Amino acid sequence: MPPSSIEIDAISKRFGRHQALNAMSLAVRAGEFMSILGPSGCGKSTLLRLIAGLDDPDSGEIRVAGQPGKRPGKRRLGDRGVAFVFQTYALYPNLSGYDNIAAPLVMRELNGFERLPGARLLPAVARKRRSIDSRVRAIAELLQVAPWLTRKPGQLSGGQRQRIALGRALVREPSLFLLDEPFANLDAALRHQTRAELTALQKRLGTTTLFVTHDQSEAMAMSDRVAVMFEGAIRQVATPDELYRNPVDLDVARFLSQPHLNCLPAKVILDGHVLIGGEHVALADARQPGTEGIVGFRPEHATLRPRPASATVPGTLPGVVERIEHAGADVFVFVRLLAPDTTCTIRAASHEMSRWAPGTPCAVALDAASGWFFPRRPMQTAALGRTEVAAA
Amino acid sequence: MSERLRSIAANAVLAGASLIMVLPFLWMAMASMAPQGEIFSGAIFLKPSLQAAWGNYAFAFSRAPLLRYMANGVIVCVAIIVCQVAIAAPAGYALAKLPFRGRPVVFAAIVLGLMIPIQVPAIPLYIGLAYAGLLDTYTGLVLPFIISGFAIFLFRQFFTSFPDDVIDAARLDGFSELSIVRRLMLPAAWPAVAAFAVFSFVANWNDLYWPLVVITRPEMMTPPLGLAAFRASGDSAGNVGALMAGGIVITLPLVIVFSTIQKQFIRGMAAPAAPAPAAPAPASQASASPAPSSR
Repeated sequence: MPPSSIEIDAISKRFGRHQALNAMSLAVRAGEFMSILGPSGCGKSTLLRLIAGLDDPDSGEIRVAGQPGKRPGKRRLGDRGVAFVFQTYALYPNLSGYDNIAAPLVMRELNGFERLPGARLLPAVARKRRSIDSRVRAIAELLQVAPWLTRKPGQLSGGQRQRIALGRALVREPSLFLLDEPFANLDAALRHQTRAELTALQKRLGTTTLFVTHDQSEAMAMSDRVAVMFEGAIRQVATPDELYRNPVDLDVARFLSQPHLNCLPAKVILDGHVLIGGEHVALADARQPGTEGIVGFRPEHATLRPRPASATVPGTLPGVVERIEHAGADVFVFVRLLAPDTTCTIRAASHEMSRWAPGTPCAVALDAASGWFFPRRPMQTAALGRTEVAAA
Repeated sequence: MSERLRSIAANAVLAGASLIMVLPFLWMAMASMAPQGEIFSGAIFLKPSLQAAWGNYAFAFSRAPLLRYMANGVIVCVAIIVCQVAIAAPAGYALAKLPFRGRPVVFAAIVLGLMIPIQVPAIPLYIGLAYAGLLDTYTGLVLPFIISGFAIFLFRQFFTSFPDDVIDAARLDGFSELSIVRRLMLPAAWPAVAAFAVFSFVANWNDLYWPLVVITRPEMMTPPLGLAAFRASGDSAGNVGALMAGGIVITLPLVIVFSTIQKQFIRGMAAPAAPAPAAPAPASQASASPAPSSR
C-alpha cells in the first residue's frame, strides 16, 4: 500500500478524571518517520491507539490518507493498512514464529473455510497459501529471523521476539506503521543495533512511521521530525536539529537536554543582555528589556574559566567547583554558583579534569549564541535549579 | 530424627486416609470377581476366582446392555462438554475482556447461578421438554446442561490474565472476536479446558437424577440409570457379584479419562492464570539513555 499521511485535528480523550489528550493536533506527511517524544503519561500511547482505531477519540477527527475516519468498527480494523508494534510485542503465545508472521495474511486473505487444515488440497487455496508462504519467507529473510520460525514466542529471547513482532507488522506492507516504545525491553547494545536497522528499513520501504518513545536520544537519532508532547498536547514539532537548537519552551528544553539542563532565574536588561544573580551576561536570545524569566543552557554551552578567590570576572558567573563526574571523553563539572545559590553543570574536556578540583574558585562563561531565555509564565515559577532525569 | 518421625507419621496418616477412600472401590473390584458365597461371608478381603469373575461379568453383560449404556453415556457427556465449551468460552471472553454495560451484574448472576441445584428448575425443565417432545431423547439429556456457569466462571478467570495487547494486535491483524477466542484464548487456556472437561465428564457420567427424570426407554439409559434398572430388575436379584461387575465396567471409563489428562487437570486447577509467556520485565529506562551528543 502507498504510505499514508495523517491529519489529526483537535482530538481529545479522557479516561475517568484523567485528560489523556487535550484538543491535540498534528500532521504527519506521507512517508515520514516521526517520533512522538514525551514523558510517561503524556498521552503518547493513547494517541497511537486512537490512530490505529483501537479506541475512539471523545472529540476531534483523525484522517488517515485523507479519509475522514470514523472508526470502522472492530470487525473491520484488520482491513486498514495500519500495523502496530507493541512494547510487549504482543505475539500470539500459542503460535510459532512462522504462524505469528503469517497471521495477518492468513486472517485477511483466507476465509474461514479456506483456513481449515484440509482446504490446502484445493488448488485455489494451495495457491494462496504458497503466496503467503513466499511473503513470510521474504520478511523472515529481511529481518534475519529464519532460524527461529519454528519456535514459539516463549522459547525466544526478547530481541528475537521483537524481530518477529516487526515481521508480523511488516509482512502485509502497511501504509502506516505505528510503534509503541518497541525497544523499551531490549538491552542497550541491542537497542542501538535495532534502532539503526529500523531506520534503514523505514527508508527502504518508505512507510509512514510513527514512533512513540520517551527516550530523547532514540527520537533524535531516528526521526525525520520529532513531535514533543506534554500533558496531552503537542508542544513542538521540528527536525531533530531544530529541536536541539531552538526548543520552544523550558519543558521541551529540559526534556531534550537530559540528563542536565542548567536553569537560572534572570531578567532582561537590554536586548541581548540579561542579569543573572547580579552579573551582566550576554545572551543573544534575550529580548524585551524588563522581562523576567529563566535562562537555560546545556553543559556544553558554557566554559569554565579560572577566577581569583575573592574577585569576579565581568560577564561571567562566579562559583566554586563542587564535584566532578567522569563521562568518558568529557567530564561534567558541578559548580556551586555564588548567586543565585544553585548548582550548574558544565562540560569540560577530560584532560582539564585536574584543573577543576573540588573547592577551586571558577567562573562560568555562557556561550551567548547558544543559551536560551524563556520568559516566565505563570505556571513556571517553581522551575528552578538543575533538572534531574524526568523519564520514568 | 524427629524430621524423619514426622515424615513417617504424615505418610501413615495419608496412607490410612487413602485406604479409606480406596477400600469401597477395592471391595467392588474383589466382589466382581468372587463367588456368591464368598461375598456373603462378610469378609473385607475376598478371594477372587477366575471362574466366578467370568460368571459375574458374563451375567452382567448378558442381562443388561452395558455397552449400550456406556455408548449413551459417552454420547451425552461428549455432547454436553462440546456445547458447554462452545458457549462458555465466548461468554467467559466477553466477561473478561469486553467492557459492556451491566457486566458486573451479569457476572454476579452467573456466580449466583452456580448455587442453584438442578432440582430447583427440574419441574419447569421437564414440562418444557415434554411439550417439545424431547423426553426419552439425547437432546432431553443434553439440553439442560449446555450452559455451565462453572465453565463460564472458570474461563473468565483464565482469560482475564490474557494480555490485552495480544487481543488488540489480533484485531489489527484481522481476527474476528470469535476467532480470537478460538485461535488464541482457548489454546492458551488449554489446562483450564482439560480440567473443566474432567469435572464435566465425571459429573454428567455419574448423574442419576436427570436421566431418571427424562428417560424411560432402556435403550436410552445412561450407565448409572442402567445399573439402577439392572439392580431393580428381577434378573440381578441377589447377584451382588454381577452388580459389582457392572459397577466396575461403568467406572472404568472415568478412571481412563482422568488418568490420561491428569497432568493438565492438576495444572488447570493449580494455576488459574494464563501460562502465556509474558514479556520480560521492562528494563530500567534511566540506565540506558545517554544525553544527546552535541554538534
